[in-house]
Amino acid sequence: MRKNQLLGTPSWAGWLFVAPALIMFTAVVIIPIAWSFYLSLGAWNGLSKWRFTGGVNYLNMLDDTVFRQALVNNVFFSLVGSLIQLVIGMTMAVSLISIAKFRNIVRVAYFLPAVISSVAISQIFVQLLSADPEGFINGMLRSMGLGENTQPFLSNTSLTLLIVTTVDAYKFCAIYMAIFYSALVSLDQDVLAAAEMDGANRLQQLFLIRLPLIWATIAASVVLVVSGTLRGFDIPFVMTGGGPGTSSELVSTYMYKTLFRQSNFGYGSAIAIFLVIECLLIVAIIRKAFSATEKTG
Amino acid sequence: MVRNMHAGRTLAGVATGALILAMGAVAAQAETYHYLTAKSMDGPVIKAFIDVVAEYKQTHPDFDVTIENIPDRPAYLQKVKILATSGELPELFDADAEPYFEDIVEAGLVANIGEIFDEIGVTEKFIPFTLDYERFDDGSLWLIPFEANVEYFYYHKDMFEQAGLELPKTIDDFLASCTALKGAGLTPISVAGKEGWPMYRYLSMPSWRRMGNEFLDKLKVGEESMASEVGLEDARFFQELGANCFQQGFASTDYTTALNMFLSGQSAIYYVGTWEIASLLDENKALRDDIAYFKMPIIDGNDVTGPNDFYAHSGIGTAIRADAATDELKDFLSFMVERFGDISHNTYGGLPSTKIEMTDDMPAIYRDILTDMAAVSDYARVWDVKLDAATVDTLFRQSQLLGLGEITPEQFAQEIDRSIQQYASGQ
Repeated sequence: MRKNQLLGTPSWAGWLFVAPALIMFTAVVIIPIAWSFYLSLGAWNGLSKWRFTGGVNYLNMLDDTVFRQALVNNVFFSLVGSLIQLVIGMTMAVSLISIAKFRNIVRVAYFLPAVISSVAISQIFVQLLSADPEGFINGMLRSMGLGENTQPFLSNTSLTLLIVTTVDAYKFCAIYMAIFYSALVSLDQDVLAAAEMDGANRLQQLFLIRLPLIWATIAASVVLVVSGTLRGFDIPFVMTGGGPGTSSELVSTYMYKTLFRQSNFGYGSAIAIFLVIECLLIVAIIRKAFSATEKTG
Repeated sequence: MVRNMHAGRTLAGVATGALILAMGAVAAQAETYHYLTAKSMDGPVIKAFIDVVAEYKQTHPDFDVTIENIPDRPAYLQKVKILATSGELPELFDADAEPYFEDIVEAGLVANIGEIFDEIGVTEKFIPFTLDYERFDDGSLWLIPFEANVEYFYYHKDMFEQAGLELPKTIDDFLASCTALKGAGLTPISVAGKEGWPMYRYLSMPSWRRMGNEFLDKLKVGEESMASEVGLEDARFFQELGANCFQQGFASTDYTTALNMFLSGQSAIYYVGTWEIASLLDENKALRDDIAYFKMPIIDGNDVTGPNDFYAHSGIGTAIRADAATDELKDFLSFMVERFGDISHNTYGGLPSTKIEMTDDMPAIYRDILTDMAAVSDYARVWDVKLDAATVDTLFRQSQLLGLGEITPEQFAQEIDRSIQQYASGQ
């Protein structure tokens, strides 16, 4: 019998320990993805018999103007949303380690949006941005003498995507603040003290000492934030429903509508498979980029 | 041996008890029906339904209906679709006579209500249009109607006076009213553009006047084009409404906000069905002093539908799962048809689908509505029920863009036609 050379245990013992998690993962992730792939190769409305259509659903995606627009919107949503979440999250984390007094109060205040439900945050912003009846933001603009800038923000097709991206980022940037903050406070204080003795100022300490030391955490956060924004759904769906028109439609909101409003399980599953492949590819590219940076850096 | 016999008897006793309990559970289960509804729990339909069940239970103590309510319509429809897909539809559930429900019928999952009503002899007790609304094109009936609705334009009388307006008789008058109201510094119309259906009502008015239901009947199967003169008339009318009549940002306004805008005097006109009548009445069950209403305006003498023909329907109906249509449930249905109308109207102020007697002590608004219902010779079919789901999604997106002036009526028509063609070719 083969044995683990280091521990002296049989080789199947490792698999035994992994088995519960592996079985669970297979049941809730692998099998649904495989099932979605099977559905994506046919036409099915949930009631009639599934009919094999080959790759027609995937070919239809190429011709579908709504899907193409949703994809473009999703790229914007992911890039801008990820950037905002990482930059603001890092800024909040750095600001937190820079203050000594009231740190806990500020930390709780920063973290508040992350614990409020997405639906509540969406509704708050819908009310704030309302034009008729006038919401807080339009009222404030008017009272500041900027009446010409008042407008129905959520009905302006050139603004809706930016708005839902910003609100989504506002909710989730506190998560990255918490991750960066815990990484920053766990740094070895001797290294920072040595840097200070060598005459490094605050900015130099941040960019040349602290950030390189938490590079692995940043890399993991980038993977998390990008895969999270690629699957963004709740805030855009509640705030605008993907509209007006397709102005804030994302791949996930379009997939939901195709599956559950149109009962087009074949095409909806094809979009779901597209999302899976898209996420895997982008995460692989990011990991590759970071590992290359680590090797060269 | 004695010990064995004793144990055997005990075992037999336990087994018999378990069997009785199990049989009891099956029997109880058979008489408890689960009703999944999208109707409001505070509305007259469900309140009256609960009362009818309570009355029926007095003579049938084992009978019961448990109600599960999902008031958000998209969430409700999603749940029904998931339940239908997984073969777990409840005994009673709400549905419209739309293409997906047609699939449910074709799959043999629901009972034929038309046949049941004929069997228990209650068909004649319904207002005919409430049954007709729930029928498929082939005339078959698979849904129970509970309410009778007609849709009006409600308006604030003082705002019309302020703008120096008479009631609009034609669609041109109606558009001119918007200009006058806007000129007087008022928001002419509040509409829930986030909901879809209120937009489709406005959109469909010109074609309904020009061709009646023929336009929609042909459009949905691709025999009529949205780019036809009549179709483009719809699109142009809606675009003008978006530009001059609707509130700013209508595309992101939900149903409650649009209604509240009207009720609180922030808009002059609001279009809604009589299911919302309770919100418009005062404590004496009379229409509020500052509110009056008018019917859908005509276009001109070339219309095929008259001023008394407009949107009248019975809202979302209720289906019975095929295996739940037992003699017991039929008996309950028979009882319900007898009692529902009276309780719904007299106790909760509703307008039921069953015929109710018009009496002198009935509030004037109800007498007027019942008179209007009786005068309807043809009623407009609802676009979001008759068109396929993919086209309704396209219609939703494109209507918002059309109303906001982001696309032309021709582009709108092209998108709708393309979606219908895709559906028609798939069929």
